[in-house]
Amino acid sequence: MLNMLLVGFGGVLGAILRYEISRHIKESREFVVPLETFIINVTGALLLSFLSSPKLIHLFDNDVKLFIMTGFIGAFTTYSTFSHETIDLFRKKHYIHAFLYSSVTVVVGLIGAFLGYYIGSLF
Amino acid sequence: MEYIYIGVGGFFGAILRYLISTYYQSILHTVFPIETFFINIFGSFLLSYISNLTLEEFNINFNIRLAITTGFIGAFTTFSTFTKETMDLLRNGRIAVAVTYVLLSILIGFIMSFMGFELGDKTAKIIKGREEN
Repeated sequence: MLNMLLVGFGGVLGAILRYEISRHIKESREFVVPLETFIINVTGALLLSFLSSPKLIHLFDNDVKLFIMTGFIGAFTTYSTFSHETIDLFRKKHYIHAFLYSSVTVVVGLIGAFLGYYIGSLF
Repeated sequence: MEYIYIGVGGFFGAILRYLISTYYQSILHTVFPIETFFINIFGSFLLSYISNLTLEEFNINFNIRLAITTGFIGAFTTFSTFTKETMDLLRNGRIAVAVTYVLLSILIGFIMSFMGFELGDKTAKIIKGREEN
């Protein structure tokens, strides 16, 4: 029960922060590619791998892991919006944008994950 | 005000993801992260279906829509776990599994999202047709 609450309250913060950040970037962006989701997902990918790197992971007990990693970062990043936006671009015939958005998100997300893990290993 | 709605959605989305993944991990011990895969592709379908259905067709309260889409489904699916799992597979030399995981997640995620959009259009038409009769 406590585990669920920790994940849940982490999820509250993660979802609200995602909404706030994406609202601000959306207001100022002038092109069709959803830059806000890209930044959120790559940042989250880096952060999660950073915290899960072998030296850092031992600093957290199970409660902190559930709250920050499963709850907060898990809810901050989003896969469904990524798919949805790609298909939305595709349906609006922005084929090149759809291709670039999806491939760059996955490649840079993975680079972010490796980078986070590497930085975490330096400590 | 919308923060409360997104927060409530995020609360339940994150818990459901946690429950499904711990349940799967307790019964299945596969190298392929099947639980995240299912969560992400199912969420992709749901988000496109609900977003498209409620976009212009119905007078659904804006805050309720945010609670379901941005809050619940957004927090239910996760990109960070997807990249971390892929990285772990690659680091452990499970290259083929990693590549399969990435390609299947992307491809089936897109197909599910596409079907969500299409079904959303169809459902909207059916409901509109009923209202006119």
